[in-house]
Amino acid sequence: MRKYAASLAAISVLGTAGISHAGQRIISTSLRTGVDTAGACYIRNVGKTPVPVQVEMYQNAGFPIIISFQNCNDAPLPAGRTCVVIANDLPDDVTFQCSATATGSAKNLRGNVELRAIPGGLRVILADELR
Amino acid sequence: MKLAIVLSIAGCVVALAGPAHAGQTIASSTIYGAFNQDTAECIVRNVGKSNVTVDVNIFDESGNPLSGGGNCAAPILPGDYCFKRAPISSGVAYACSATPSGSARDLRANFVLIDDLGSDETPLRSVVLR
Repeated sequence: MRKYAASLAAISVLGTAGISHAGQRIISTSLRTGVDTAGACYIRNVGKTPVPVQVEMYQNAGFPIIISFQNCNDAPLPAGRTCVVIANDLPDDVTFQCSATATGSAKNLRGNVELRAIPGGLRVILADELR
Repeated sequence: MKLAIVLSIAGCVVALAGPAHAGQTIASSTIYGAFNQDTAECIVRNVGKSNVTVDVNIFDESGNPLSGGGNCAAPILPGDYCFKRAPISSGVAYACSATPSGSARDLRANFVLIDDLGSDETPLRSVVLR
């Protein structure tokens, strides 16, 4: 009986662990840049409370990318709002990706990274969701 | 001992309560299409066996809901879909959220940015709500 109760308690703990989400990170796959491309990474808070988040865009082997604008990393992202990190000129012929690290749970964050062609009106040519 | 078992079972029930999806919102990420984007459309399909009432909204980056048209005010019949559509600006990114009155388990939704300036509509970007 004691063993049975212990098993149930263990299952409870394991079940609860799934919803803890402490310090979670969501990350995109790598997108290949080509030439004359710009990048953007949007993070949306679909929850009801602000989420402190650090958003980074980087290229092959973790080298950073020069950021042209960002409004994600200096204050918690309010509920319902979207922040963005933009690189107006991505390095040629590299892969780049975006990650967002929440101080707590990332469950209510939705993220999207975009590769845009500079000639012809910044049309998005590749995109991926952060998971 | 009995109390321990009861508490353990209660813990399991609480832990498993998450996937019930009651009143859950499904939401897209925020997306941008191109300078020639001018229309956003959010399409919500009911793949279940009973009617679903759903509140569908398109938002700008600041979280402001856009006013627009569509047919999502009425319940979605099984197998049917509803849409919300709104005019958008060229230099801004947008997102969509759908909140059913009950479970979101049987909803499948997609958010599309469209170039509607010419004679034909050209979809530019789409993303799934989850």
